[in-house]
Amino acid sequence: MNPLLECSSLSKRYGKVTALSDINLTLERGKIVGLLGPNGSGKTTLIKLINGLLVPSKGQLLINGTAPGTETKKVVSYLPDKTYLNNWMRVRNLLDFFEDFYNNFDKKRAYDMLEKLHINPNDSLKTMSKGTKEKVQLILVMSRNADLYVLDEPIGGVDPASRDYILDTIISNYNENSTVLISTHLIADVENVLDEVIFIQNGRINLQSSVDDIRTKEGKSVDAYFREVYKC
Amino acid sequence: MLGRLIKHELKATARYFLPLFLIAIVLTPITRFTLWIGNYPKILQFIPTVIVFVYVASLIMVASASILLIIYRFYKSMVTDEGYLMHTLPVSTESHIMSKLTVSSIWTISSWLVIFISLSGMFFTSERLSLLIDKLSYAWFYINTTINGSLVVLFIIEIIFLVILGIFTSPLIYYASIAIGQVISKNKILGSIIGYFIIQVVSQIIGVILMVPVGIYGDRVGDSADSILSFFASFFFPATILLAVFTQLVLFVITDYIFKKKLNLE
Repeated sequence: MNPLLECSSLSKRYGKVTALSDINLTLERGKIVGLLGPNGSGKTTLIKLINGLLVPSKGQLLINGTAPGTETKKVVSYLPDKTYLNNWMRVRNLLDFFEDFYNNFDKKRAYDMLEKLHINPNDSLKTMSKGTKEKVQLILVMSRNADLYVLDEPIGGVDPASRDYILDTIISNYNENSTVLISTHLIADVENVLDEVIFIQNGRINLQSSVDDIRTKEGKSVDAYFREVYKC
Repeated sequence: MLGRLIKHELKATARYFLPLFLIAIVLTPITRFTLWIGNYPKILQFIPTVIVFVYVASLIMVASASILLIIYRFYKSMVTDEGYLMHTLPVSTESHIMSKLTVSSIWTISSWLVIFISLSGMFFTSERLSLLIDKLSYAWFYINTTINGSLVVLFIIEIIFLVILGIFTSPLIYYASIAIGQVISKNKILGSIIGYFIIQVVSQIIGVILMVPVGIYGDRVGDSADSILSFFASFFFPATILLAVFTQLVLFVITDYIFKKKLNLE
């Protein structure tokens, strides 16, 4: 079986700026992985490459052994760092839309989550706050039975109470064959759910390690360790 | 998947087109009735003026809306934030372009129909219709007795063909412009405009080069109506149709290639 995600000498330049440089990375199945790094470190670039929204300048990236394309998009569920939903649509229309295009979309699960977070499926997105829109997007993304969930700053705009529910949802929704990649700088909030962390800085990977290893070797939490490594 | 994309695209665009069509259709009998009343007292004469103005404006809107919305929809869903959703659907780039093209041609044809229906509704009377039929049958008789009738039929078929092809050409030009735009510039709107000019300049140059053999050949054509008609029906129009098909293929391939290999949603 091919690894879920495999990057070899992956680089991405925007004009003269190098956003990612020579990344070698393998993600196994059945893990919750934190992609951690300061602003502008290349987190979003890596995530967009995984989703085929950017094309690598050099090197390659494989998901289940295939380069990003129609096949990989079926098994990758992506939460972008911005609102991509049509304002004029109602939540209900969005669920239909996802059901139409993704075979692995579980509509019942989506309705359950909407109910838990007190979101009315008949509401149109126009009338929603930024945080509620983010919740809707996350519900859509987590209601798919995907192999790889890629969440770019999933809890940034959400209130702390919903944060807990969302993290619970993330943990309870994934199975042993799927992996969740979460990019964030709210490390303390997600630390407890992570199995593994990737530290990224200036477009390079500094560290890929299990959370337990950091705790035993360094004797501190990931959050504290992150603050130490990236001290300004 | 193509079918579902078309369905979604139709839904996304219908909310602009249907109200617009409805306005034009509803205004037709109102305008006709207002004009039929005739003699307005001086103080009320602004009423027919305003209504005719609104009616004409609604027709102009219907006529221009399709191309504007075709550009807007493609731009919005392919290279702005909405592109994050569209480009992560498990759908090929070809299907994206084909669905947009299909839906845009549906709206182009329906806006022609709406304008036709509305104008007919505005001006139709049985006398005018029989007059029109008279004139047309006279013209047909005249054409048939002076020139080769089968050439005329071929000529008309070719013109219809060219019109149908034309429905696809302009959207494809705009799609390719938008695709080129996001490769050549960080400012996607400016880039698209530059892309549009590049396509125009290139097609003008090719057009001029191709005019040379057409001109040389055209010089040898005789002066009689038959030979001029046969020049158009059996040489100029078929060549134009081939060129149009070729141009569309090139534009499609450019758009497809850029969105597949050069996509950069920053």
